[in-house]
Amino acid sequence: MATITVLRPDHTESLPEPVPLAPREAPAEGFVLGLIANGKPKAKELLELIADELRARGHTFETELLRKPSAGKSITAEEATAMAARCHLVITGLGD
Amino acid sequence: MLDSLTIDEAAVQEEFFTRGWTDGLPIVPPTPERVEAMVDVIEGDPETLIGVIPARNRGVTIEQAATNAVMAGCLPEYFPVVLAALEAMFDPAFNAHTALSSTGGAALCVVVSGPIAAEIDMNARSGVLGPGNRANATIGRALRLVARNVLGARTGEMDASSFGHPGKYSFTVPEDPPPAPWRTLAEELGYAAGDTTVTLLPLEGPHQIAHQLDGEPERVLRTVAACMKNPAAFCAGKGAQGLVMLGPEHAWFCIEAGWSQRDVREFLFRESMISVDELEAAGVALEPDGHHDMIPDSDGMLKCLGSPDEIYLVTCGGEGAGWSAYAPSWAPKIHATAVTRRVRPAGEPLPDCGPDGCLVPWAR
Repeated sequence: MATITVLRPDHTESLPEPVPLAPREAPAEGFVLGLIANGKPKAKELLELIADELRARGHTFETELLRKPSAGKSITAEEATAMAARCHLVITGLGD
Repeated sequence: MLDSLTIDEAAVQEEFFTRGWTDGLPIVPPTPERVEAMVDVIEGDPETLIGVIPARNRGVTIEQAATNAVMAGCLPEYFPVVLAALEAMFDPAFNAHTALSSTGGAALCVVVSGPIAAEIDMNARSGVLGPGNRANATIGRALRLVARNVLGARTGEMDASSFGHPGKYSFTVPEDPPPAPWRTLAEELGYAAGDTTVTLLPLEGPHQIAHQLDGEPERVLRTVAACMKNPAAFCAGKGAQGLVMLGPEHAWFCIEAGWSQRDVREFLFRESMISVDELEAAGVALEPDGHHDMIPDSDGMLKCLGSPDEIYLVTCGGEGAGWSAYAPSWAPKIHATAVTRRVRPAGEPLPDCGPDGCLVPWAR
């Protein structure tokens, strides 16, 4: 049986270590909910409906909205840092 | 060196199919000798990173690119073109992460302009977009295999194409240098005469354009514009880029009448605008609050192409009754843009990978 040696053409790096989840804590006074709309039509409205639903369930909070200029681009590192500094929880989503 | 495996020679194709390492077609086995011959052409360090996609935390080395180019069937002399196309793909403006993953299913279209296209026997004439030429078929295929194997652009993983199209196997367009006074695309983009460039565009499939009964430039180009303003295309009314491939008769009608390439692009830009009524008649609503600029001008018109400069105009194709072709970008320019790179002669050092690559930690 003739054999042949070939190079692997694929990505062989191992997956990075998972990032630990942030601690789950009861909402504090002055809770800020971040919303990141991905830029698709109605994305902002969908996220605001979620915020409305949470308020209807008795939660009190302010919202901070960030709208991406393109669904195809990530938020910048500066935007991520700013959201992390101001918000206690951020909701975003992906899809059409 | 990359990891290797030693297998039964008769089973190599099935092994690659089973591992998901092909595009569904057989491959040339990437032996170390074949890969080395590919790398030797550019006299580069195989471990050198060509670029990275930060959102995927993945990059491509010269050796990985060469391995996939061998599999695609490339000859070593094609590799500088493959390398230039990969450099273009890693430019942040191209936004490869999205172009490779969008439901829109874009192909990686490689437009080759300049003398190297002829030197490596690419076919820019009859059947330019079809099968039968090794360089045409394998250069584009090499890119797609890199995207699939190294960058994870596979169906069910990081390629969410709803349909895709046949150009995702390979979509390579060598330019047939136009008659004077028209200039090559490379020269139009500001490169020196004698340079060869690769322009990488994320495109939908091409559509052939028939205009065969007269040679009036305005009438010919209106037919081309009619294809460019297809209301069913995702970019209709949103301002995108596109590749116009003028066949020899259509190009000559324009040249003979004294039209410059700029004249053609400006005419096509204007004539490809679409009205709100035309969109509405096709059942296409304006996006009320999205990320696309769909605000009509005072005449109720919207741009299909962002500007005359967003029209990439090349001459190619064969003589016949009068054919051209058009392929639009899969998405408006805010998502991704075409990127051009000069093909470096053998031995010329690689440039710095730029902020996109250098800012991302990379551990091998």
